[in-house]
Amino acid sequence: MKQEMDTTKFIRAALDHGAASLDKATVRKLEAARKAAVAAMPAHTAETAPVPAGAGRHFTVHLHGQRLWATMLAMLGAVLVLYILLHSMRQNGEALETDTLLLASDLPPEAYADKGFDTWLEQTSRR
Amino acid sequence: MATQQELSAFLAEVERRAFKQAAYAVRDDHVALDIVQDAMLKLAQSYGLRPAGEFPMLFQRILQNTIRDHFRRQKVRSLWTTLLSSFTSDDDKDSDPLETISPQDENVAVNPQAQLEQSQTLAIIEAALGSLPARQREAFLLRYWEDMDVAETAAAMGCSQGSVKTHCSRAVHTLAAALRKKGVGL
Repeated sequence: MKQEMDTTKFIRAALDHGAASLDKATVRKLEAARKAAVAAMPAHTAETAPVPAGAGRHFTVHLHGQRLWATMLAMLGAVLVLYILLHSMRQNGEALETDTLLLASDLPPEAYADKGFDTWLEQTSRR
Repeated sequence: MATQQELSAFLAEVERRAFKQAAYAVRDDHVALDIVQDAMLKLAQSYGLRPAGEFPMLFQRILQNTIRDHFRRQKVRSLWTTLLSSFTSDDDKDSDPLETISPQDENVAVNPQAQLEQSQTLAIIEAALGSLPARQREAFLLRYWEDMDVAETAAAMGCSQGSVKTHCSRAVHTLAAALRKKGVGL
């Protein structure tokens, strides 16, 4: 084990020396490559929007401007769709109740369309 | 997220070793330089916004993948390269001979014997490294030159920790035998 460590240390020292002894042209080319790579790094495009503190909670939202608008529009669209669905379901529910009432009644459905029927109902209920 | 300064500092620290690693693998300084340039660009463009602590492993993974890509392309191009190389000259008319003088040559008058021995030892080690199987060389350099631990080396190489230990052990034994054979004492 110790011999293995000695071998690796010896080799490492030699390799370090080799790396430190690169010719100037190669060193210059490596430096140019490094600068080109750093210049190609994506820019940080984060935008912070601090949210007012409420009940002791703080958080920041990092969103690009265009992405923020797209997200808001998507949420608005989802809320609208949800409202339409709920409204439609409520209307369907009311229609269903009416149909159920008519079908369960002893009177024929045409009776409810008779104009004198409401008058008869009122008179009957007074007795 | 890493800053440009952090990326620059990291690349400045690893660029020379990365170049030597690539050179040991491909045995061509020009190709090694291209490989390191590609690896640096890929790191910056694809992972530039990751935390700086992830750079060592990411860069090593990219570097090794880029080396492997080179060998894959070389298989296809080797036939044409062989045919065309007989018609081209190796002279680089744009190079300045003074630029090829390494710093150690400037100090040759100080201790020429020591410098010579050091150069010869390095040449023996580099030749032995170049003759290692690729995975053993990769494991050895990541563990003992890049100071990665076994887990990090396994992640960078995309293999198990057991494989890393096996590759490292075999590499060390092979290198030690090569040094003994050449009469290099530790």
